[in-house]
Amino acid sequence: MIYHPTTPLEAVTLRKQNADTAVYLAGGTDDLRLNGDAQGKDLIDINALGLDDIFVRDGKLYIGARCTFNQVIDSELVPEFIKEAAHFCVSFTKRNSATVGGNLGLRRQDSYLAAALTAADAVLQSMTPHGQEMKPIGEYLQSKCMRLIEYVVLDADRTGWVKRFTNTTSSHAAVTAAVSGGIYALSVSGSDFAYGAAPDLADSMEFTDDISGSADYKKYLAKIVFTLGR
Amino acid sequence: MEVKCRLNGENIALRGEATDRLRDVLYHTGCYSVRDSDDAEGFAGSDTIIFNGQLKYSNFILLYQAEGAEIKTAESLLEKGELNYVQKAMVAAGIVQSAYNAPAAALILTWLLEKHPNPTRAQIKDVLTSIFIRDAGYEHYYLAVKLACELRDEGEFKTEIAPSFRPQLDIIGKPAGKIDGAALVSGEPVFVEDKVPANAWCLHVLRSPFASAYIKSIDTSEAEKLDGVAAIITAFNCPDVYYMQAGQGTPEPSPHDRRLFNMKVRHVGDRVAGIVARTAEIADKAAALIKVEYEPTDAVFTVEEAMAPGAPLVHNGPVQYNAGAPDDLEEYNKLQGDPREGKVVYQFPLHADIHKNIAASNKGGIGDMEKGFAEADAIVEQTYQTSQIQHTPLEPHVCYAHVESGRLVLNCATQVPYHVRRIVSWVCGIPENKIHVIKERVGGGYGSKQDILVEELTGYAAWITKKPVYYRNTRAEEFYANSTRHPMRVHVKMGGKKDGTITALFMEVCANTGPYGNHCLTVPMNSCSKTMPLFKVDNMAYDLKVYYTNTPPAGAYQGYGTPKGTYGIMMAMAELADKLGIDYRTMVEKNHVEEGYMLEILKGLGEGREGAVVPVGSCGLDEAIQQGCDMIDWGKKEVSDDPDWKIGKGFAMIMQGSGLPGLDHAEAIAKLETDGTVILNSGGADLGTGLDTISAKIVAEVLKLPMDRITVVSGDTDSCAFDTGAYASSGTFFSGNASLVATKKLKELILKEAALQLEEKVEDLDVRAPGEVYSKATGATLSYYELVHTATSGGGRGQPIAHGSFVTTASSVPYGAHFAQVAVNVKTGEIKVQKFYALQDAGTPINPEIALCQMYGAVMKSIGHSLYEDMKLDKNGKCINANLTDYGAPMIDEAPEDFKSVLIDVDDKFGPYGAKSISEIACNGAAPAIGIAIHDACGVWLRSWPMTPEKVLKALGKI
Repeated sequence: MIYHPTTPLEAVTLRKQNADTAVYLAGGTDDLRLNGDAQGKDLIDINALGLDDIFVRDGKLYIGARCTFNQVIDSELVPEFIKEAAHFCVSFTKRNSATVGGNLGLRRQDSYLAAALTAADAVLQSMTPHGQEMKPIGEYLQSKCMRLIEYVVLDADRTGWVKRFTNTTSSHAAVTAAVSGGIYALSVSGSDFAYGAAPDLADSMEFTDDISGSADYKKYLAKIVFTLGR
Repeated sequence: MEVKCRLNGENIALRGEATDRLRDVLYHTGCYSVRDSDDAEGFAGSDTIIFNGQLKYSNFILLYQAEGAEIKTAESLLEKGELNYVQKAMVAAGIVQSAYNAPAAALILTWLLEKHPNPTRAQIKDVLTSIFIRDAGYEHYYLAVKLACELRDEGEFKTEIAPSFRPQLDIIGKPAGKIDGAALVSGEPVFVEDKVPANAWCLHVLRSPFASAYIKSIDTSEAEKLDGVAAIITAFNCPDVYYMQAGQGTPEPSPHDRRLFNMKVRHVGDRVAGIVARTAEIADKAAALIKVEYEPTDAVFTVEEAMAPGAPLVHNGPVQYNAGAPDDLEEYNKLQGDPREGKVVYQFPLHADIHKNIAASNKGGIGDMEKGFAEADAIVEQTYQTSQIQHTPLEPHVCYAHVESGRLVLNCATQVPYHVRRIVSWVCGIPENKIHVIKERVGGGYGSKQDILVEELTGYAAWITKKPVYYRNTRAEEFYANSTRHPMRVHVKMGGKKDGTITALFMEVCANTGPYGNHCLTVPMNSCSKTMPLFKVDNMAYDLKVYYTNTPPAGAYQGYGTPKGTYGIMMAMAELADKLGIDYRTMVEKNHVEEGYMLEILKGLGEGREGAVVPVGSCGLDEAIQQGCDMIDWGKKEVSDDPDWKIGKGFAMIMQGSGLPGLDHAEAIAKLETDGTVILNSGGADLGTGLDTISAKIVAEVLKLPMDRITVVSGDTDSCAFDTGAYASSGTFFSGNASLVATKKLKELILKEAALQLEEKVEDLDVRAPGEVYSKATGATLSYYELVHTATSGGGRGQPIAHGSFVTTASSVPYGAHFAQVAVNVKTGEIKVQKFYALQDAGTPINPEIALCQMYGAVMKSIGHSLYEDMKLDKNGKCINANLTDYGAPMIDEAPEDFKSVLIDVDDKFGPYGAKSISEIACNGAAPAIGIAIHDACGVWLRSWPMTPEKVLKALGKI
């Protein structure tokens, strides 16, 4: 079954009604990927909803959820460290399809964008069955809500840096870290996503062995990454 | 549903289910260029299309999303049936090799040049992040773009594509393209999958979830009731024929230790049942209905576990010998275990002991080791460990088989058509004349397609069902149910004097062959036999043991055992130099062989027989070392601006072989056709490396014919004569020499016939371009057309046809040296390969541009093995990273920043026109060169590959 909602409210209502059986479909690079989330599921195709523009309003940068990574990289409005995070998705062709909303919505621990946007203190303009809401991205990533992201909103003049540790550049990340405006964010494969106002995030995290590396390795990186600077 | 869109400039209706992947729909619409290497993983890029003006992976687009779309595939690139300028440039640059995704790459680069007519290196690199290139590396892609711009703007290529060799020859040693390049880069249906008719049945293999278990029972009754199930093959109904899957000359130095299906499964992913069904969906349903009762047993996964006293035994049945059985065999067989173990049959003794999990062993040496070590001022004794590596050819293992006129016909992607035929003959119990193997273009082999991993089951399934049967490994099956590089533990003890002279060298090799013994003796032997002969050392010895375990199977992989031996022996030499306080270069120069040095060590390196002692032949080793040292500025310490990054340099000398003298055998048939053109039927198997082009060039050179008047038909067991196959670096040397012998004989026939027709003496005649006989005495000429026309007309003496056969005991060894400069971050452990220079002596490089690309490709694979690639197994033996992303296959971002391949000019007296092998050797140098450079950078020796940041940090004591 493929649903074709024409408004964000319609899309999120469908998602709520089919919570266990349907997924949103945007760029498809994760949903339609081998063993992806769409396997055996109905699809709520959100590609007719727009949400694919980038603009600045009142000093805030709005990045549409359906913007592709290459749109982010090509935009003159997007801060450099966010572009750098989008470049973590190495494949040029994949970046033509992978969307900002899709990457955040998966809440993966090796997300390309989650750490950078959390450190950027971004807020998600999102649609819920009860209407439009703003939600800090860090809270969103640590929840399981099914709201539909419409825009990622952050200060247009935000600066910061990101760092990602992987096996090859195409591999899933072991550790991704970002700092911006005194906010630290850390994604660690096999561990929780963490962020806060101090760089000692690793102290409160649990680490596990997985294919990206041992717990000791990831713990070490998580501890030293914020000392590296750009 | 029906979707209206515009495809390659034509309004078209695509049909299928709404959720069908656009990739599948396009392929079945006839767009053969849109392939799938990764089962929709989004990694390899073979499925790339232009969708509404943007590059997209078509696996991530569903059919319904194509409504109204403008779609372009690589089929759109042809201009009036001719290659476009980018495709021509790609062929000229030498990057169209196995070429499974060459059409996609051509589409990407054409798109780039439309957007950016003169792209920067960074822009080229950015778009090539989209595509996985395993065969030719990425370096000549930059060259291809440059050439494309020149062709577009100036009408011709201006840049030198590759150096030329042998000015006295017309085409040998000159870059001249690849005879199958146009077909490959344009996306013609040249691969096995393209030959499969719509009515083909599907073969699906149900696989073991256990690393070791007896099969107590299999109930297939419910599955067999399904409509569309033709057969289910299991251990209970398959032929009771023991064989092995290694594509080696018979009698093979590998044990026959398996059947199509066994009563005991020996690794996660081992075959349990083969289901022949009308569709994949029916096969899946049938698989779910098969009830298998397993009796799990303990398993072993490492050589340490396998060699431990009381270890579970991987094989524990009766042992047989077809030759050389030991006197105590009857006693030995009293130890056999459960009848479901099956048996192990040796063609000759491999010094195995299955009751100790030893699949094969060997030892030998020269000199007096005790004396040698006693003379040393310092001794290094270290162990180097290598991991399990997958070949990851873009085209997975695949086979299509059907029965036609009472014969079994197999379309294969294989390096060994004649070995396929023989093993299928054994398994099916039908004679070889009833089997026709057709080698299609091979979308990447690298040794994995030397093994008969899918053909025997597919062939058997077609033979018993009389259905057309198609089988294709999933990408995951490529990892856990295929063949891989043997993990090895290489222990090296090396002693040396203060002046750098090595006094003794001992290698102890323990290899993990997995559950079956494919190549179990010969791969580990290569770790010694292709490393020790680099050294002028009087006292050398080795001791190797190969263990069965319950890991995914091992087999042949480009380089064979040599990369692992080279890693151990070169790292040990660097460690010894460090201990002695002398420069590593000095030590290398003091101890390496040169032309004429008598290789006594070969006596002890025969595989089951005494080896012949011969002198070193043509050898460009010293020149490679000197030139490489100059290029990398050896001895100069580089310093980074960032104190966390430390820079170091390393290099390794390398060698390989050119086929297996005394074992390999190649034949060819050269025919002068009735219009004066030539068709050469070569038994050789071109797996994308340009072997057919080598044969064509040889014909062109001998007969002075233009290349477009020569066709090479190869790897077809009906029309060609026997060839052992393309492995052990034999293609150029053996198959090329067979082509040379056949063509020289054809030339003799042509001259003899011309002498009769012209009424002149043979010795007064010769051939010249563009394909005619001329008389040095009278100036008379006779075109090949006129000659053959007369010969084949009524009363003529018949079509000139010559058969060439080539065997030799001569050995043409390629040498080289590989150099690396790395930067290591001592805070994070990150490693960057800043520079890599590969210098190799390939004799006369017949296709120099293709040769360079093979060097780039092999080095990239080797960098992958050294730094990133690693099959990870969980505690139950299941591979947990069986996809390209998690496995760590290197892409363009992993290529060295400064990457050069250099061909050292050396002529060889045995190879065709002086040629030696080129690509396998290029797998051997990266691991030690990088390992030594890492030590030079930050002072730690990483003695296991992959050499990861985590291992750097551990070695530095940071974690």
